[in-house]
Amino acid sequence: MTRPVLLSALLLAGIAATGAGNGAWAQSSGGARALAPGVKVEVAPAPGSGSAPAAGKVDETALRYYARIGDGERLEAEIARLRALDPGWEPPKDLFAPQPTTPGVDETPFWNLLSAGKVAEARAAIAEQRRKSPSWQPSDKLLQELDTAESAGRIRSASDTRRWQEVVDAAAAHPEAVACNRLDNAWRLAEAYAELKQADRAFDTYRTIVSTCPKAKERRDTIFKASRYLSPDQLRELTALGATANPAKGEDYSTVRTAEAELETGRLLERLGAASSGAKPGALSAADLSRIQGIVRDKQDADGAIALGWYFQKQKNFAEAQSWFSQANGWAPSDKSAEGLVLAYNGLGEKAQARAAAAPWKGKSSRIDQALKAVDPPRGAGGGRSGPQGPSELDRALARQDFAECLSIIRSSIAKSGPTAALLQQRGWCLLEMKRPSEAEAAFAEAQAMAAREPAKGGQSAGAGGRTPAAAGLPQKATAAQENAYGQAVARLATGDTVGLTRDLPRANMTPAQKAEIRASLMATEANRALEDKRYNDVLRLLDARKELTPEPRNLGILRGWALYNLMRFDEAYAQFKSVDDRLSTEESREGVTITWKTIYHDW
Amino acid sequence: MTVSRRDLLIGSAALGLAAALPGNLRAAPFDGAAWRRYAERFLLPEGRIVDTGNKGISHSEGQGYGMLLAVAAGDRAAFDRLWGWTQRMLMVRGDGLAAWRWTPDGGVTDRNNASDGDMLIAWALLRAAEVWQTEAYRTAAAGIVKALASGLLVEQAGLTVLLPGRDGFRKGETLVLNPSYWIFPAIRAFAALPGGERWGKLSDAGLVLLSKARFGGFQLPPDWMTLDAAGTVGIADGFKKQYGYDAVRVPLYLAWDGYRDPYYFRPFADLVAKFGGTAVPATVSLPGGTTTQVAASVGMLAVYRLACRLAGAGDAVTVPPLAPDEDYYSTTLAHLSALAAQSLGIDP
Amino acid sequence: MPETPISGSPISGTARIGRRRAALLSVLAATTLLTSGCAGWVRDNLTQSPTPWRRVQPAALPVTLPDSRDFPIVAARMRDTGAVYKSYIVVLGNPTVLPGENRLTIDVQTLPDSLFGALVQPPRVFPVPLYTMETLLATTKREFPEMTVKVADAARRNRYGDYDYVTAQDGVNSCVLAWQLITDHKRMLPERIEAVRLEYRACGVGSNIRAMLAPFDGLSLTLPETVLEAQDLGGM
Repeated sequence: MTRPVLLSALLLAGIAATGAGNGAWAQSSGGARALAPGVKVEVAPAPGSGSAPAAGKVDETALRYYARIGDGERLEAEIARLRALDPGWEPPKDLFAPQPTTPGVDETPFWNLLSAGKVAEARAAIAEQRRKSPSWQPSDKLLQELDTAESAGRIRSASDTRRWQEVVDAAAAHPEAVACNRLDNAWRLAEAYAELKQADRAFDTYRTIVSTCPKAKERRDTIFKASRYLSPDQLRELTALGATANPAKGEDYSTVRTAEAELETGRLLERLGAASSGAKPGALSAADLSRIQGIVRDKQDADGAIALGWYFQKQKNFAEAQSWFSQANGWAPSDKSAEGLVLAYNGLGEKAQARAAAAPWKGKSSRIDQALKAVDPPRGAGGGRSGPQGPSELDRALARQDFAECLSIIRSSIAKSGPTAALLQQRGWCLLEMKRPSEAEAAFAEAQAMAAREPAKGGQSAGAGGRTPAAAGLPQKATAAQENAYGQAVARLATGDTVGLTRDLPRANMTPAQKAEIRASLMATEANRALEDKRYNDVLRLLDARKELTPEPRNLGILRGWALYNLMRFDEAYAQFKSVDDRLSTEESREGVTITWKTIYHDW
Repeated sequence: MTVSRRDLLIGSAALGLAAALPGNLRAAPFDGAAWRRYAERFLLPEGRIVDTGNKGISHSEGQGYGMLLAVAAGDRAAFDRLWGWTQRMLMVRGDGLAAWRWTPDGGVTDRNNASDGDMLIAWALLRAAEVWQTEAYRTAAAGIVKALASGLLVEQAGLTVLLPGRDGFRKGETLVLNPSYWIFPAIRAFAALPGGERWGKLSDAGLVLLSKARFGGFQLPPDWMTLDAAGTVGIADGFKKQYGYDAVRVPLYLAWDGYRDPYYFRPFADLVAKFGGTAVPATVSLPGGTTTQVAASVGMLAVYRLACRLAGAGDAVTVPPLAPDEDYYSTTLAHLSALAAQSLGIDP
Repeated sequence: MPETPISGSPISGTARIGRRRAALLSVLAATTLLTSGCAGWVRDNLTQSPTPWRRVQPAALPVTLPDSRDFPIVAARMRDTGAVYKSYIVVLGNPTVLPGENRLTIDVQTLPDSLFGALVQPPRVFPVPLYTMETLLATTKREFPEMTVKVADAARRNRYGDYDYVTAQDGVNSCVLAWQLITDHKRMLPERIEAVRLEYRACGVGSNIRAMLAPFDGLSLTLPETVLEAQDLGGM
């Protein structure tokens, strides 16, 4: 008893809260609730099976334990529970007084282990104690709590390994393990029903959760979870219930209400995407289309607007497409919206507008550069760019992706009129394309040295010269020096000089975007190497760090899957492969899914 | 050679019938007569126990069980023959441990040890030292215990665990373990030796692992399990994923060491209850729960009888008498169960 | 594996004891199998994997090349594989507009300097034989796409003995790929060195194969201990 005053305060607070009918436990006065036929959720733990304390004699073991360790929250809950069992019961006045040692055994060590989540250790300690004192029996409350904790673990592991019937059985055996305070397990139970094709029971389970568990966030999350299994109508019902049933004081259920709209948008956008990609042409009715336009406008959802833009672009309705891409770009400027805008303007024949839309991203985004090829014949960074005359010989070679010709032209051009920084830089890029990275690196270095000797052209490269400075918030425009440094870094990556590059990168003169890109590539290379070295935790560490910089491409997603697999984190590996495969199924992703599946289920 | 499914069904039905007959309600005690019959059937003159179910091979486990039963029956001559043969033929590794397997044709064909065999031998020696007041037995036992402690006791995830053999049971960071190698009463005897603290930890870890290693609808331990660096247990790959002939010894050893917590015996009682205490299947696949058509042997039923009593399920199991051609393993389990029950004061 | 109960007895320890043996075998088998594929366990041989390439100054290379206008040294890199292998890449100038880098690669295999080193050798970094017809075809297809490739009938000779090569040509350019394995540690190699593998790839303008092979013909190895040249042997 080190802090009696504070603990008494907690006790008073607990009683007050209970009186006010606040919180999860206050709702439990009704006792057990049916989550699904055959399975009951105990919002508060029920008395021990078969040995419920006789009326007027409640089991205060846990109560005293919580008081002793000062766990106010659980103390409060326990008081509420005991009150529910016996309305005439009052918390003992000596709750915080030192207890005379109860005859037999002090259970504190077992409760401590249980609180620390060490259920197996608690079981072991109890067995050892019973061996030493055969006449002693642990309290019902302790055994009950242990059973519940174990059942919860069992539900988790059965559901992780897709043994759905065992999930249902375990939940039926210990309904306390699927109560609101173990919401994840309640979800697993619902999922098990759904997987067992017992749709009604799945729905009932979700319905019980959203109408009994008090927290708005939990109800909302439940609706999202349920969306995988339930029909739109059922989801609507669930949402309505979640937004209104058994409201708890101080909870704002409006976020529950919006869950359905968000799901609806997601579903429509998915169909829109399918329609845009031509997978299911005409899958969208006029009503759906107008609904989604309304939602996207209301929420100023840039991604939604882009999806709409592509939908119309696909239908060659360039005006409508342009308007949606513009919207998207207005709400949240990005190269993705600009890309659509460039192509939509191009479709409308407004090439100047298209170029203007591309300007902030030109040379910074491969998306935009690619889109520009549709607007203008591709133009290289060589000498002819700023000239008013038509595309130069070099530009035409680059447009054809004839990099050998690029090298020839630059060589003869240098032979004729001497090197320029721009020419040398272009030579670097062409050498890279020709898989000659060592020479490319030398070319970029030369270009850099040359640029330093060309004071007239100053900071801007010939290729990037003359444009207005980038608007605030847009990617910083690279100077010629930065472009050369970046070229050298790309070349060094290609030669495998990862160690040196890692060392030099912090000091390199590049834009933050360029640095981030190189850094991400380095990490991808290092992750590959780590996989070969079988340093699987390193693979994950590197990929996680890389993911902070830039989204993970599918090949690295597959790498991640194998790393997880080799760490024997098979369920995670499966989920990883599955998510890659769900987006675009390839031989590689299918192999991952199949092998992991077979490993988990020993289905060889 | 293949026994058809039908034969097996008939076999288990016959077993059920036998069990239903009156007159065999009490498990046979282990006494001098039982030992003589056992020795006649399984102990060869040179001092090796024959595994009749396995083409007449011998192994360290059999020698250990034989030595334990010989001490219990007070047959020192037999004990010395067993121990002598074990030393000559199996303790050829040079590290104080026994090669686990010996065949009449090839002698020692696999030099790896089996930790439970070594433990049984050492424990039998300790009991013999006690009964016959012979220091040489104790010294020999201490040597084996020391060799086990230095080579087979390892720390993983904060637990002290016993590798099943010197070689081949580490898969990277993960260990392959056998729950039935926790011979709790032997471990307690080792812990009482000077410097035996780690054995005490092995006992503690055993209880923790048996609480974690519960799989399938019956929550039974697997014959072979894994323990990874994070302390997570699983059912080992590369073995039949089942509860069966190995793990049936788990409740036997627990009971023998005086554990009475029903929690640890309930899974076995639940299995018995499901099959009405008669034709209990010999194996249960984990976690799936598919049972074999092969019925549990008399010896296994004897273990279940013990487990049911400790689980508070009463005399749910009727153990039929040993058949004249009952094999080595079943007979041994039956006798060991009787010894365990005697030590608990359950049976005379 | 005898898993079937024998002698008509439905109850037998066979399965049990059989399993223990099977267990051990399959654990070992699994280990062997898995270390070779994607589905591996962590093996404790990090020191056996190649280090990343690092740049070195040409002066640090164990080779001296004759001065060449067409094939100057552009860059040099090296890496280690275990304590046994040192590999070097010398990137040479490429006067053509063909894809791919001109280069000389050198792998030096030393003898392990400890018993431990001898026990845990990394896998060999080059195959022996260096090429089979199949691997040569695959390599030339990769190195010289869309060119006419011909395997030279007769070997050529440089300071370290005979070597083989292929030529590749299109209308304008010619390329060579030459390879050589020096293993004569009885006479040429110092006792610390087990083998030296050389491979040379060069493309140039025109059709003068000999000019393209000149750097390979004229190179001399400058390892810490002297590698005797084939010509030296005649005088011994």
